Amino acid sequence: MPALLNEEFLRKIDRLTLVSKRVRAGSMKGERRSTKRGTSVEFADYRDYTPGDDLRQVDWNIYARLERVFLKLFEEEEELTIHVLIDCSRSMDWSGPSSDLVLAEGVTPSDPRYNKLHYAKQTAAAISYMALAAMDRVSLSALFAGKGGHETRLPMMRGKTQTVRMIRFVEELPSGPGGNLNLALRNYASATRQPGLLFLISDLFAPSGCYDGIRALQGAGHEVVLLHVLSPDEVNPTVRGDFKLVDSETGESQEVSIDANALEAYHREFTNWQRDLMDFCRRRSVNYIQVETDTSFEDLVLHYMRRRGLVN
Amino acid sequence: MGLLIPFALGLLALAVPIVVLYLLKVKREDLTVSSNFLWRRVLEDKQANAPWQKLQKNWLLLLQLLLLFLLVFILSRPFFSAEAQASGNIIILLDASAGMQATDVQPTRFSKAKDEINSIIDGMGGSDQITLVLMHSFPEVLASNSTSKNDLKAALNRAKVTSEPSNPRPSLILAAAAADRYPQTTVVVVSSGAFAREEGLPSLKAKIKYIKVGNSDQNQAISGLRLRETGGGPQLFVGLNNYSAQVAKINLVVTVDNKQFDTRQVEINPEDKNSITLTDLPINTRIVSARIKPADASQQDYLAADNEAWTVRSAGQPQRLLLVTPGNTFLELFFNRLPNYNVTKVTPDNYDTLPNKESFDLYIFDTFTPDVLPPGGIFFISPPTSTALPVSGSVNSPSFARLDQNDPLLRYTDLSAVYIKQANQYTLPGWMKAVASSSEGTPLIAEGDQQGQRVVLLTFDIHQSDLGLSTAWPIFLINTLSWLQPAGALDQVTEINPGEPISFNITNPTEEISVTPPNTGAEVLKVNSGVASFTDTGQTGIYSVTHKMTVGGKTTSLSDNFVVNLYDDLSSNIRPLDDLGLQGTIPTGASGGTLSDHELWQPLALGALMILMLEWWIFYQARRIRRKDSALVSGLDKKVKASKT
Repeated sequence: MPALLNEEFLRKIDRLTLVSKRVRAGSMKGERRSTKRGTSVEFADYRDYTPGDDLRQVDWNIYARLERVFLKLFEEEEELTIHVLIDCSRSMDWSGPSSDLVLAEGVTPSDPRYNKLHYAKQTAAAISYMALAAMDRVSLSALFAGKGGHETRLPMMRGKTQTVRMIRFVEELPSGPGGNLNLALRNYASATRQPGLLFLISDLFAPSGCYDGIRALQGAGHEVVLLHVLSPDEVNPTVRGDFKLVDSETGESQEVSIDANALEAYHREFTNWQRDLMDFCRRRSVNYIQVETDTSFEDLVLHYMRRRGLVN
Repeated sequence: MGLLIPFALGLLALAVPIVVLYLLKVKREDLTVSSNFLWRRVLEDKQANAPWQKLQKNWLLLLQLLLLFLLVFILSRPFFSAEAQASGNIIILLDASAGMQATDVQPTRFSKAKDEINSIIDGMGGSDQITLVLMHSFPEVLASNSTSKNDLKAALNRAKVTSEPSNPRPSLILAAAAADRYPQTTVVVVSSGAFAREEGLPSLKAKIKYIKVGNSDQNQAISGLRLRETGGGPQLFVGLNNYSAQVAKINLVVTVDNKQFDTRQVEINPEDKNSITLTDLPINTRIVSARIKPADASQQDYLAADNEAWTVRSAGQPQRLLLVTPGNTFLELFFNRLPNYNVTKVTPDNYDTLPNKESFDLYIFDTFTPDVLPPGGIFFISPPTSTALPVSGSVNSPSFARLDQNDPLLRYTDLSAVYIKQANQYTLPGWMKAVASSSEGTPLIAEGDQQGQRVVLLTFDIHQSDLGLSTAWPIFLINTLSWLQPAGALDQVTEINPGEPISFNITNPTEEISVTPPNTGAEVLKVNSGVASFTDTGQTGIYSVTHKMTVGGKTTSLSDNFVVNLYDDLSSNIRPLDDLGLQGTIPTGASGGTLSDHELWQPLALGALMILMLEWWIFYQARRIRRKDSALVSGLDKKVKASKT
């Protein structure tokens, strides 16, 4: 498996920042170049120190009196919290059909470069790095990772010094058995107190759907960006024959005779599904990007996301 | 329509597992995909009706079910019944005698008969078997108990009509023997029926179906052609027969040694005979032929085989004949004019003292009986009583009443007007039979053959009758002397029937005999036990015989001839019979009412094979289209990826 990010790519995205359509009133000063510029320098509140916070914001007087580290927050200053949610279900850990079936008609053998989970990890790491470099607060969570399939979360972090920690966390994320995506998203929405720009990276292969979860996230104040990651064989399957299709995530099997008519029906179903997702996202002002894993990862970050106004 | 093995239909139950296999037992490989999410949605609609849709659209399954149905149907051996001339075990007797050459049915009766048999073969059922027998001078089995139409038709194609006289008895005996082996045998006789005029034919324990071929009796024939020696040279006797029911006018052409000698028109009454005697033939006459044809175009002569006849004048060594008589003018006058007989005449008193009296070929004992019979043919004329021929009495004024005209002794003779003053009554030994008797049954002429020695008995003194004055006398004497010639004196046999073998005695090991049939090449005969036989005498005409002998280093060659003539009433009388008169014969015209079973497995098997091929073709086409589509989809994939990059 290739490394998530190389140094050359990091240099390319070092000066990029993530752009939110709306700037939120943060609890502390940030260094975000916001489209809204505040003028007030009024003190607003204190909050506990978080590793990575700018030490210049520490109220040393309080520290002298109470021997506790607090940061002074000014209301007019802007900050952005970046939430990155990676779908780590087994359907994401997919590079293509098993190499055992390379002799079957139309079967394209698997290619590790096209692994969806790896692609998602690269994307998540790049987004997180850009946020850390811009001194945004980053919350990184993995849905359905590990044996239990529960959410795994990296505590809120800030600043480039957290880069190694972030990358190690992302690299080590295992795939899990999957579960109800709507429920996971609703749980996340209810658990987060600081809404922000939320990247959901998933293949969305969830029988229960994802619309309720996205609505819950938006209800909690998140600005949702949906990165829909698919492998080429999922968009354009070419396999033909009589098969028992085994779901990599659930293990459920489905007997099917794949011929030209079946493939045509699949394409029709896929198009309908994609159109529903786009319609939903357009209505809910969700930024929807569908990407296939044979698309260059650098192109995604440096061109597609910039073209969609997500990166500046 | 019926089924020979209806239980085989139970195998149709095999259709159930075939359908089940199609529905449930499709062999599928496991293919792991990232998610069944979309596939499940694709299949939701299809799965509701999937089994039936699959059955409806699956041509291979339908073809396999059809194939199963056909195979099971074939195993059940379906058949249909159709009316046929005969069924079961069938023996077909095809008349191939000369009469079947008649052209009253185009092209010939024999061809028509073969067509009829072809129809029978075409209509034979699967359980029918046919024995095909060609019936001419002897029975010739062409196919025995055959169930193969091809074999039977090939055998029938080999059958050829002959010029041989009809000889139905052996064929009927053969058919009777074959019918005894199989019950419910049907004997089909395809013929004009002329052979059935022969009396005393054996009966058959079988149903006889007679298919009559022919519709006319228009035929005239040469019934005899004989040369006899007279003081004025050879005399030719020509016998003519008209078998039709109308008066026949025919032109007779006689050729002597390839030169036309006489031609005349002869009128013959319906179903009557006529005879012509020609005298003054050249003294060196060798070969005489006679040919007839209708005198005008309004007449028909449908059988050509009996319109020409030949005879040869024997060029063999003169016969040595001992005439023992107290004096008989009629005999002496006769033999004085026969150059072929070397006659020694003695009185009975001198017989015992005659030296070498056993070296003669023929003996005529006129009112005399020797104590010891010599070897050779013997003609007794009113011999006194003896142990061999005891006299029991005499009859006055007997007349010829019972005549066996077919006997060689009486051929071409008319003895009905002969007056006899007195005749002896002899007790004939068992080996003799009377060929001419009085109305009371007193034998007047008798013949017999005792261990190769032939004997003719005339029971009255010629001087006690006017026989010696009648025209029948020389003919009777010629017939008698011809018949008495010892058997095996082959060089004296000059005439045989078509198909009759002829043998030549070989006395010198260096002797070689070759025979040249008319219109074909010479054949050198193989010698076996001192006898050379020639059997290929089916063609009428003149046959040349060449004897080559080497004596003292010198090779001599002698040529001779014999002729093959068709003198057969059964063949020449071409009037077809409506009823054979054999026991069990179904009348002509009756359909026979026989049903023959015809199995259908051959067309069904062909259909099954075609379905199998169609199934293979559909499978192959589907596989080819699938590969083609797959290649197209892969190509599109590559194009999409290229456009993205």
